[in-house]
Amino acid sequence: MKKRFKVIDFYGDVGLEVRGESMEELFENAAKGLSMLITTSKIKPVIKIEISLTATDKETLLLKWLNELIFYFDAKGFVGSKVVFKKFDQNNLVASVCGDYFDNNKHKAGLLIKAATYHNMLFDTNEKGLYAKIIFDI
Amino acid sequence: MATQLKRLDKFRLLVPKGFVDGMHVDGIIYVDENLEKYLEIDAIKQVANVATLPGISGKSIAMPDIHTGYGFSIGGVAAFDLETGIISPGGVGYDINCGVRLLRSNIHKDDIKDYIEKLVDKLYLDVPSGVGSKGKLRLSKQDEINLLKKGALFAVEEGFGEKDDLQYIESNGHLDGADPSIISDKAFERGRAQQGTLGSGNHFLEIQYVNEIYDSKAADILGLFPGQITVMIHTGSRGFGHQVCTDFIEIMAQAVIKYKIQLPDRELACAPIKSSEAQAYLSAMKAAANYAWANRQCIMHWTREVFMDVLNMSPEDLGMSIIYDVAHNIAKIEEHNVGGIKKKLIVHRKGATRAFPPFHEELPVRYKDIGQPVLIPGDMGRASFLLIGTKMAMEDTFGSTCHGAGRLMSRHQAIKAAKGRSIRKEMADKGIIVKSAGRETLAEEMSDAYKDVSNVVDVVHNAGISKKVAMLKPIGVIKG
Repeated sequence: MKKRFKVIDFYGDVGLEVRGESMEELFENAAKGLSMLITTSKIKPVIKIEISLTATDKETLLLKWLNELIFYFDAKGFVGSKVVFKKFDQNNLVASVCGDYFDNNKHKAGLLIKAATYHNMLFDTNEKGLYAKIIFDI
Repeated sequence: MATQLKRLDKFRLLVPKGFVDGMHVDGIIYVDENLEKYLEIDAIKQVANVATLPGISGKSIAMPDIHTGYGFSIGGVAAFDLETGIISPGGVGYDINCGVRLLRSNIHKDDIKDYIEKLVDKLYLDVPSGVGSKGKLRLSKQDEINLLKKGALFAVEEGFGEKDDLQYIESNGHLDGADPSIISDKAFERGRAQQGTLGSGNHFLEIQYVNEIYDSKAADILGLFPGQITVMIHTGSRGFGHQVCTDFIEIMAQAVIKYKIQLPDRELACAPIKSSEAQAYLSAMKAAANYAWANRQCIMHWTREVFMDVLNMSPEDLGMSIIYDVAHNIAKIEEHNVGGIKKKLIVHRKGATRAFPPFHEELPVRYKDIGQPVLIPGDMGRASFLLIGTKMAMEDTFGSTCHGAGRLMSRHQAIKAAKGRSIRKEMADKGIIVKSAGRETLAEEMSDAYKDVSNVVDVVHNAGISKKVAMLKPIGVIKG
């Protein structure tokens, strides 16, 4: 299976290169990559949250998606492991994300991520499918 | 690129107009030939890009700890006209009012050498840090509103420290005009559980000692003596500030379209200073700055308690008080001299520290003769520095100087370089006891991952934009 995301270095921060055959898959893989940066431990899908977003373009939608997940972790300790999209187009998404609350006794702590940024953001489509690059502020 | 960098003198490089299209003013980077080796092309471009923003005054400036950031470089200083200029969240950064507080004490390091481990252990327990940590404070919504308006004063009123502490904090630990009603529910929620927490990454709490004094007159006034134990706190506005920045980058992205501002980089998103979007950001940024000052106030209070408890000392015998507290990610309205005329400007400092000269009206009475204390944290294995602001900083850099060492290795490179080594043990061999929530944090934060802060500080000292007073060496480190 092709690697769905790759962690990349960006000076003092980190980023993700994400691939997917569809936008849904790309967004799901971006979410999984983000969770992996927060913890490399396995997260059981025991808690479900709903996310609903609107944006002016696909870059902003991806940014908002990741920042929403960063918010859920930073404010509530929630880490996602499974995503189901109920609605998805260029400007809107409705998703349910299953995961668990981070527990220092159970999960290995990774990075504390401040935000996803527009910096050097890339969105590309080629014969292999969709590709995106996002840099996070750590 | 058609236009090249030009060395002006031993300490400054010129990024001339034309380096990128649309520059209104030149850029200046404070680096000597040694640090120039580490200059990233992306960071230079960012200094030039900032010079394209509307209403920029003087020059787009960068300090010797410059590295590539988002939109604005880290180590950047940019001032904008209050009539024609802008404000940009990217010029402040995600960690609004990330800053440093330095505490003095009456203790000599030789008197407590057997207690360092115990102090580190207890500080680690009493000051929450690391990924997924929650603060010990339980704030109601109304508490949080009051905290956002009052900053460090709120913490003092709640019993964290003394009123007398406030005069030794930049802006007395609070900025007027923070309006909590424009803060998003998300920022409120991220902020609620994180007040009184250190965070992770390069944030730290260090027990240090005065290793060398360069200016004995200033050191006397600052209450410093050789071998003296000091404590440095480096943290900011935590998730609250990150959310405020995230929220406003989005709002500013719309403002850029609305006000037809041409930008070379989306992360430079900004709004004309008089617009409602800019005023809302300024107000929200002030709330986040206040959050950070309250945070450092709480952490200082617990630190004092730990020292009193472990060393069994009274507050008077311990004598632990604030030398100063600086913000190094902030935008502030200040009066500066522009072409011989005194003018109010909005000064953005992103990874840069205010360095006001002697007799500046914002200084506490005690420091009037020497200038504002400037606190420069280094990496956990080498040293940190205490400097003072100068007249030249006021004239040349809008009263600003550097803020730290600056990274040399990426996190991944650092982890790779640390493979097979015990950073904790290497530090212990050097006489530094380290405690950290995450093992990878230690690898990422090891000395080799950073430039030597001494080189950075020497540039600002020799260039005259601040003056070295003392070198502080770590002996106990708490990392998130």
